[in-house]
This record gives sequence, structure tokens and C-alpha cells, in this order.
Amino acid sequence: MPQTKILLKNIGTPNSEHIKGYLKNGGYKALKHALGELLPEEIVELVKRAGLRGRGGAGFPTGMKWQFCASDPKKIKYIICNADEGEPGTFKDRILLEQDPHSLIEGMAIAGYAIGCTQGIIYIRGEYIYAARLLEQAIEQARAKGYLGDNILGADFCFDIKVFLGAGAYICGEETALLDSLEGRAGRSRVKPPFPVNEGLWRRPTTVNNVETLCSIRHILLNGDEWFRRLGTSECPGTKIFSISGHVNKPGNYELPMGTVLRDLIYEYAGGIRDGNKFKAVLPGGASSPCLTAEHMGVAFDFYNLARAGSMLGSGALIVMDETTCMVGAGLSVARFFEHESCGRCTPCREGAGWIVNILNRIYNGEAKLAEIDLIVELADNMRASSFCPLGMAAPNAVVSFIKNFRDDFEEHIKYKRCPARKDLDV
Amino acid sequence: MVELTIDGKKITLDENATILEAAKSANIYIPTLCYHEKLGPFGACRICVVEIEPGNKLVPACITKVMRNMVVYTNSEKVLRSRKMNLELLLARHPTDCLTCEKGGECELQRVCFQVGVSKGKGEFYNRLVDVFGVQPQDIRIEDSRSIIERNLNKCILCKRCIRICHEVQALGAIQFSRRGVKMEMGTFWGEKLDCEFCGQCVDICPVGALTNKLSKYKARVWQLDKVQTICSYCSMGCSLFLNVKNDRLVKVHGEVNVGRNDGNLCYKGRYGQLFVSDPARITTPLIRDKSSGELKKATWDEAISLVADRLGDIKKKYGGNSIAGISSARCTNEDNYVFQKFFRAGLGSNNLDSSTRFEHAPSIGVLTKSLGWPAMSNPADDL
Ligand SMILES: Cc1cc2nc3c(=O)[nH]c(=O)nc-3n(C[C@H](O)[C@H](O)[C@H](O)COP(=O)(O)O)c2cc1C
Ligand code: SF4
Ligand code: SF4
Ligand code: SF4
Repeated sequence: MPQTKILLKNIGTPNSEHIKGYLKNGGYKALKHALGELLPEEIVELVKRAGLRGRGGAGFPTGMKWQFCASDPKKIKYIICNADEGEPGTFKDRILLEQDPHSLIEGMAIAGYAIGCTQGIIYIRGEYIYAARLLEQAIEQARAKGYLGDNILGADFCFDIKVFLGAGAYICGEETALLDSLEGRAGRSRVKPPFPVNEGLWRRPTTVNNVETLCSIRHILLNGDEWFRRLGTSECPGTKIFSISGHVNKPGNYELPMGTVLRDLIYEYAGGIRDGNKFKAVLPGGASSPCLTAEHMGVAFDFYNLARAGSMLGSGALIVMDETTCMVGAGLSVARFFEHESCGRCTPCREGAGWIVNILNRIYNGEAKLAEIDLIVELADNMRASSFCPLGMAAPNAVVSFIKNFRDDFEEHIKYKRCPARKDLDV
Repeated sequence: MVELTIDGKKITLDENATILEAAKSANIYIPTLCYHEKLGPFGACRICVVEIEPGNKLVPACITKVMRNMVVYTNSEKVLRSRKMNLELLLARHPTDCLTCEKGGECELQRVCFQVGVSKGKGEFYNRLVDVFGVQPQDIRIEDSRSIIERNLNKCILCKRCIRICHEVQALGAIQFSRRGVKMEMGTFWGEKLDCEFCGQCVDICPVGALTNKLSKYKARVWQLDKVQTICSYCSMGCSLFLNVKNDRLVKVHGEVNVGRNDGNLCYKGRYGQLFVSDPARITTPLIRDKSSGELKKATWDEAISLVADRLGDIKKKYGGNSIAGISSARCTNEDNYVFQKFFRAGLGSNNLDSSTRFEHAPSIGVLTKSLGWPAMSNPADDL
């Protein structure tokens, strides 16, 4: 079955990153339509009716976010594109940024018009320096053609975009930490409320949207909300770019309707498990999500169905693990990531993430006692219950799900000093 | 106004209040560490978590606003479990060096551990960490800069109070957290030597013994100190401060929130400049110059005052009162200054009076009058 390429349609076409190629593919038609024929409120309504949910991880209804921001009486507002793409396993924004930057620029301009902003900012992770340079060129091209700047397309609407390079912290993908980072401070989550839609960048109403979310906008404007709703599931319409990595034959980005089941994602699209091995587990939404196992092959991938299956869609990054994976080792590498990326502000996450790594190291090396496995679960419970921000609440998800589903892996490391999955591993 | 229930008690209060303020108003104690009434919302230590309905979620009492019909439990099983664990997590990397710690006796970590019933020997969670790891705090890292502030990072619980007061109240920003996660530490940019005003506000607000005054190190235990409230004599602001006195000797000075115009804030002079009172070199009696040898010799107040009175009387008789001039000081009290000028005008018959303030403040008076039309502060001190 082919993919449902909407967002990825331009990818691979000649000059897709240049405004020439983009215009050939029907670029900036949606912006023309918006400025020429629609009122800002009508666009917000349209996006609401389409049922678009944010693709950055939290799945918040985009139209609703825009409405909150648009209805704030303060004058100066900002639209920010979150291009920090920090969730391990996620590489979908990158392809859009590098090969279809004008889609994002057009989406941001439409969002700016709908919400009432004159300034857009793209916060892009420091490692994406190539994409950042490309974006700057694309913005320059759009300015030259009058799609950005003063009185765009003759309308009473001025809008411009700046690119801001992050400095490589996962927490800066969290929207309030992103705002602190933009303001020149170390990125650490803010106290909420106030929410960014009311008090965001420089305390002005601010909408933060993911790259994929903003790239979807022009398609909704051109094709209508009903068309969008026909894609995907009733609760989560539209397509989603799934970044599939790990032990599959064909890792990559796959754009498919929301609600595509796990079996199809792995076997139909990603070419099945490598070396004819058996599937063991998958992190369906990046390193922050609890794993799914073989019994979940029929789970439809959207925000609701994955939540019902006890996990989350997050950014739609599938990290697939086959039978040769040591779950203690896999847990350790996830735990190390969070130990490193915890911003350090609150006790449960800062200290908890540190201890989980300590304990996992001991289990991995066969030095631990059995009771230490439950100590991890207790530390994790406390992180979920009392962390300051979603990073700490989600940080132990994967490790705890590994313990729950593959406890034998952990116990064998401790009891017999060997790894059941990796015979080569000398514990 | 909203009504809510905390631990079964009905409370009505302003809707802008936090759960912590609501609890305080009803005399319900919720332990806190990173919270400080002078500082903005932070909510990081997670010691003040409480359980709320609806939702049975844990929220930090210090930054969560009250809501109509909210039901709050400050001591439910869920709360205690999390509170204890977070406290024990802080203790796990803390040296509990209370025997010789400057802060011992007024340490907030001690107080909260005592209240919650957690100690290294007693913590259910901590014990298992020790059991498992034989936890040792990192190597003792005491900073021995030549500054008057001692920093002991092992005792730091990362509450950020020092940094927040430096940014929010002093508006200086001399210190910050560097690095992230478990490696995060409080310090200066690039670990440079502390180079600031040395107001010591960070020391006063640190809940534990991570920041302490080097000048008073090992001089007294907290409970040996008499705290005498007085007014700082360095400038005309008149800040309230507390002299910490042991055996009639001044050990250190601190300010207290809600006391005085300064609300507990002190500058470097007020906090560190008072130790001269116990200095042996301090002049404590009048000195009269010996005519023949030219040396200054100790005298009684009666001798000194008689000498001055005689000499002033002579000069006035010979040359008239106007030949005498007096310079007073902003460091004297209003009453002293009043009496001083009265004595000159009525007693000596001289209007030649001035104040040391002329030299430091006159130029600024000129500029302020020209630019703002008002020669002094244009805002109330509370707004600072
Ligand atoms: C720890 C953390 C990291 C995040 N990283 C990203 C990220 O890299 N990119 C992103 O778009 N959203 C990220 N988010 C989600 C953002 O906070 C925010 O919800 C999102 O950018 C909103 O855009 P959307 O509504 O279009 O999804 C992260 C959230 C958390 C808690
Ligand atoms: S949970 Fe706490 S320590 Fe972790 S990233 Fe969020 S604020 Fe920082
Ligand atoms: S900071 Fe407090 S708990 Fe720590 S050693 Fe000093 S007195 Fe003890
Ligand atoms: S030095 Fe003191 S006030 Fe500063 S963060 Fe550490 S414990 Fe808190």
C-alpha cells in the first residue's frame, strides 16, 4: 500500500527547498486564499472544525490554542514554530525543514494572520544548522516575492519570521522552556498558569506549534475541513508522519493516516524486523513513551487509542526493538538520556533520574539486589506524581514499562549474571 | 472570595491566594524548602505537595492557586509518601554535617526533616539507598575563596533562593545555576570568583548551611546567640537589623523579613560592617591631645565636655557666635541632628551649619530636581 503523502508530497521533487520549486507545486496559494477571501476568525474556525491536533507531542487541539491566543486583548503577539525536535527517535520535522521550508513559512504566515501576530520565530535545534541556513534563505526568497514583509499580497497584513538556533537541550522543546531560552535564559520550564497563549514570549500572548502542525495548515485551507476529517480517525483526523527507527529493515519517515495499526507500520511499511528476527517491543512515541509489545500489533496509532493502550503517541517516533535487545541495556540508555536532559529544577526528576541510572548500571553489571528493581518503580512513581514539568513525569515511562513487560531480563541479570536476550553479553 | 476545604477545615479567602497561604491562614502547617515569601513563584523542591480533589492529584501548595470548592489534604498517604521520598532524595546527597554546621539549629532542612519525621537513620527510602549503595555524599567541596561568603556545595539543596534573591530583589544577577540535572550547581558564570556587591542577601536566605558567613565561622552556635534588634547607623535609610551577640560580643548581623523599612534586606555595610564594635582598636573614650607631647590621651566624658564647652565659650566671647561652624551627619539620628542645630543656633548663636550629606548628595539633589522636579526618591521604598 502506498503512503498517504500530503505533507511529504513535495519531498524529492526538483528544487523542493527553493521557492521556484514550491511555487510550481502550488505553493503560497493557501496564503493568497487566506488573505484574499477569509477573515482571521474564519481560519481559526476552519482549523477547529478540521480537528487538527498538535503534532509536537501533546496533541492539543490547534484551533483551540489559536483561539485562546487570538482572543487575548494584548496587542503584540507571537507565533513560534517549535523545531527543536529533541525527542529521541524523531526525525520528521527535519525532512520538512530541509526539503519543504516554504510549507512551514506559509503555514506560519497563515497562523500569524489568523491569530493577529506580526512576528514569527522558528526555534530550531542547534544541530540543525543546515536546515537553519536553508530556512533563512527560504525566508529571504519569500520576502523578495512579497509573501513575507509589509502588506503581504496587498493585504493589510505585515508578517516576518526570524530563525533562532537553540543550544542543544531537550528541555528547550518544552514550550515554556523554549520561551525562556528565546529570552536569553537557560531553558527551564515556567510555572503554569499563566499559559503561553496569554503570557508567553516577553509576557505577550504566544502560540507555539510544531513544524508538522504548521505544515498541515495550508492543506486544510486548500482542501477544507471535511477533506481533512475524512483522513485518519474521527478523534484524530489527518495524516501523521511516523519516524520509524530501530531494528526494522526500512527505517524512515512514513506519512500515513492517523489510526494506522502497529502491524502495518512495522511490516507493511518499515519492511519488517531485521534479519527475520522476532519483534520484542516498540516505543511508540519516542523515549518518553511506555513500550508496546507483540500483543499490541492491532493498536491504532493515534492520540486516543495509544492512550487507551497505556502508552502515548507523542511525536510519532517508533523505536522498534527485536528479540536480541537487552531490555536492561535499552532502559539504561533511555535513563541516561533523561539523567542528562533533566533540567535540574525539581527534586523528584533531578534526583530520581540520577538514581535510576545508578541502579540500572548495577543491574546491568549484575551487582544489584532483586529489591532494587522495585526501588526503580518507586522512584518512577514519585517522578510521575510530583515532577514539575512533563519531562520528569514522562522520563521513567519507558524504563518502568520494560520492567513490567520484561522483568525476567532484569532478574536474570541479577540472579544469574547473564542476559537472556544477548548471550554474547558478559555480565 | 472562594471557599475551600483543607484537612476538613472550611476556609474562605481571596481567590488569588495559594493553597499554602490558605493553609497558613487556618494554622495548618505545610513544610516548604524552596518557597520564600519574598520571592516569586518557583515550586521546585516538591516538599509542599498536597493532594487535591477533584482528580486526587499531587500539586505543590506554594504555587497552586485556590479554587472554589477545592478539597485539599495536606497529610494523606499519597502526600506523605511523595514528601518523604523527595526529602530523602535531598538527604541522600547531603552530608548532614549538623554537628559543626553554621546553620545547625536554624536550618530549614533540619526543621522540615524533624517535622516530617525523616532522618538518615529513619528514612524508609533513604535506608534502602544506603543499604544498596552505601551512599556517600560527593567529596567535600568547600570553596576557599578569599571572599567573606563560604560556599559548601555538598549542603546545597538547589532551592535557588540565593539566585532568586540576587536577581529578583538585588537586581544584580551575580550568581546562577550552571549545568543541568544532578550535575547542576549554584555558582558564578564560568565558575569565576564571586565578584559582586557582597551584600550577603544570599547567605541570609539560604535555608541550609550551603552559604555561610566566613567572618562568624565557628564563633557560636545559633542557640547561644542573643538577637538584639537595632537600627543600622551607616546611612539615613534606617534599616532594621539584628545583632547576634554571644557573651557581649557581636558575632554577626542579619535582617528579618517583615521587620523594618528594609523588610529584612541589608547591604554589605549593614550586614558585614558592624563587627568593628567588638574590635580592640575601636576608640571607646574621648581623647584629649596633650599640649606638651602632642599625643592623644584617654579622658573621661566630663573632662572632654568641659574642655569643649570652655573653648567654645572663649571663642564666642572673643569673636562672636558666627565665628563657629558645625558639620553634622546623616548617620546621626534626627533627634541628634535637631539638638545639634538647636545648640548652634540658640546656644552659640551661629547659623553656620552644614551636613556631610552636602558633599555626597548635593549633586544628585541638583540633578534630580532638574530632571524629575523632586530632590529625593520618586517612589515609596516598598516599590523597590
Ligand atoms: C520535554 C519536552 C520536550 C518537547 N520537545 C518538543 C519538540 O522537540 N518539538 C515539539 O514540537 N514539541 C515538543 N514538545 C511539546 C511542546 O511543549 C508543545 O506542546 C508543542 O510544541 C506544541 O505544538 P503543537 O501543539 O503543534 O504540538 C516537548 C514537550 C516536552 C514536555
Ligand atoms: S521535571 Fe523538574 S527537573 Fe525535570 S525537566 Fe521538568 S522541571 Fe526540570
Ligand atoms: S545544612 Fe542543615 S541539615 Fe545540612 S548539615 Fe547544616 S544543619 Fe545539618
Ligand atoms: S546555596 Fe542555599 S539558597 Fe542557594 S540553591 Fe543552594 S541551598 Fe538554596
